[in-house]
Amino acid sequence: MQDSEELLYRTNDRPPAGALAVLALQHAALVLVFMVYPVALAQAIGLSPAETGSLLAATLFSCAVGTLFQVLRPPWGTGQLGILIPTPVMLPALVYVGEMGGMPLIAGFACVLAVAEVILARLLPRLKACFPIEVCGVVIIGLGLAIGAKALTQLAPTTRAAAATSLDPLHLLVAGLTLASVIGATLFAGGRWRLVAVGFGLLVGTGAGAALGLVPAEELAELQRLPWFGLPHLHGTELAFDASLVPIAILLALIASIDNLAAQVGIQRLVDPQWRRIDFRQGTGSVQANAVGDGVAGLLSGMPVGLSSSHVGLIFSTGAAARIIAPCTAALLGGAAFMPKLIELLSLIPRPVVGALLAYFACYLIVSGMQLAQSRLLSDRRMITVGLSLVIGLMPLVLPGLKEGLPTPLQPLYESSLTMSALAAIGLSLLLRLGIANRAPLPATVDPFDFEALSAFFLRVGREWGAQRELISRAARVTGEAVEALGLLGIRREAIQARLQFDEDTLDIVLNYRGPVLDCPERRPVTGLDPDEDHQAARLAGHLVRRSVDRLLQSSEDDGQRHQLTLRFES
Amino acid sequence: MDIFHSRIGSIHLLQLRGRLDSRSVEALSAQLVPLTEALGHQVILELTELQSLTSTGLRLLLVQARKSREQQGAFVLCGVQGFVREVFELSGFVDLIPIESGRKEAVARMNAPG
Repeated sequence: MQDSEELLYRTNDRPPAGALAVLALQHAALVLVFMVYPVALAQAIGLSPAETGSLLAATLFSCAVGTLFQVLRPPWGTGQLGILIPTPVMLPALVYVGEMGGMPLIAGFACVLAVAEVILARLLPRLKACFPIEVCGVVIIGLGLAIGAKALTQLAPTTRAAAATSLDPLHLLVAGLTLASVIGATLFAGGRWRLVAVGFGLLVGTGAGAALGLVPAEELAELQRLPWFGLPHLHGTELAFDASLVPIAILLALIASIDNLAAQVGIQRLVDPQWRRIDFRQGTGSVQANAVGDGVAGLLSGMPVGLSSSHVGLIFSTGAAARIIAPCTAALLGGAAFMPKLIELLSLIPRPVVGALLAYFACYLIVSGMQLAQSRLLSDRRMITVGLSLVIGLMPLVLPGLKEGLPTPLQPLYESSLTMSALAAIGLSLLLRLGIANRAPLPATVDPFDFEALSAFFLRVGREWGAQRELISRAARVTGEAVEALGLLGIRREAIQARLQFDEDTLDIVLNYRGPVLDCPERRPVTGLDPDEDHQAARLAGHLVRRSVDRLLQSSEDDGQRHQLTLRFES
Repeated sequence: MDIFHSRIGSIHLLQLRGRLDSRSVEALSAQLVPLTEALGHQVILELTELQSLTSTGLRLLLVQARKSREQQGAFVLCGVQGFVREVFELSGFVDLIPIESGRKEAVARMNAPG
């Protein structure tokens, strides 16, 4: 798994013009691939070619504006690279809304969605307890699996992948060539070739697909007919509202926000080598920026948008997370709205090529999520949370037909395996956390001077709490040193009481003892140590303890006979 | 803690594995003290597999290093790494006790003239 040290371009870097152009082109091209969703929407609700063109142009503008807002610093956006695409989670609901009242009702629905997202963005920080590290790991694995599943459906000969009984060898060949090109450029060419590996695979795969007849002749003929440049025909701000759709809009806004946060987790973890927990300021900014994109979609009669998990995969694979890529991509998307031939060209990319690229992105996300889920000590509760939520996330993929049996308002929940696994992880985490206290006194049977017993106790408690392995290990060592220092002062086991306290951010070891106070000097004691002086050795130990913790707190009572020493470790 | 004692010519090599703290310092002291009391001794302590040590262990090593100088002997540590290295640096002992990166370097130091 790459971390920030392996990023070619970090958040605030400015890639050279050539590299920037290539990166922005790749991101924009991937957005254009996802224009298949508004095309599917247009076909489903019977839009004319002119109306379809208007929908596509409006959606491109929404993606461009939303992407621009994403890159603004909090509280307006995230300050990070994140690309918005027409979000497939919305598609079934939008078809339903479009059949009710056409594009005006879809536009009004998008506006309600935007308002709901703005409100939800404010509530996100209260969800902190719902997103411990293992849930974040599940979410990133879920991102990868969702993309991986999409990748497999692209290999099917028709769009009804679930009904496929065989795979076309030509599709497999084209997918294989695409994947081999991308992997070859990444592994064997290496270096800066990572930046263009995806674009290289796209070109090789599309060329192979066209040569092998995977692009229908009539679509090529249509492509010839279209001009390169043309003014987009936008239908303008014709809005309609229906109060009965408000609950669906709120539910979809919640789902979209969770999906958005999931993609944000992937981005945050990639760009910050010290990443320990979700930055909810960025999460709020991300959902807000999404709301802006949806608001523009509403006003221009486009399709609502969402933060693209596939683009997170592209960022991972290229190692390029520079913010400057976002406005360049947005400019290309805005410009693409004026290029009908380009939009059509990209819609002709053979499905197996798209599938191969999505499979490539999925690799990075799945492994990254697994690493994250295992970065903390795993107890039975946490293993159940991680494992079971991933199984539940497979349901929409394995049993898609169940959706039809659900009440209409709940069907969008079942649309996305990512949403299902994220919601299951949150629910299981909250449920199974019941009964876990965040305080653990050292039992009387554990001798604090016996480091093995002390260490085993720390490990057991750390597993229950899902603390970081390294944090627990360090805390045990330092506590052992502190207890030994107390021993040098003549303080016996019976006079020492210890307890551990943990929340997601800090681990406190609180030692209460009777006897002389342990001096923990800031400055290193003089090195002319008298070997027979236990007090000098205790001072040195106190100094080592102070230097090894993130914070040290001391207090005394009972005329200076009872003391409390708190060792604080921050994760 | 486990202590493995071997010889490289006239050099005594003690390899420590585990944790050096108030509980294990007695065992090390029992093996180390007779060696460092001999005039002109040569002792290498290899700490590559030592997982951690406390100030009690540090104190023993400092005492032995001083005694070694008094006895005109040579006492060198090697393989000081990870958390153990961190403790040496925090305590300032890295400047008080001779430390070499590995066994080969420690032996070369012992065999160097003067």
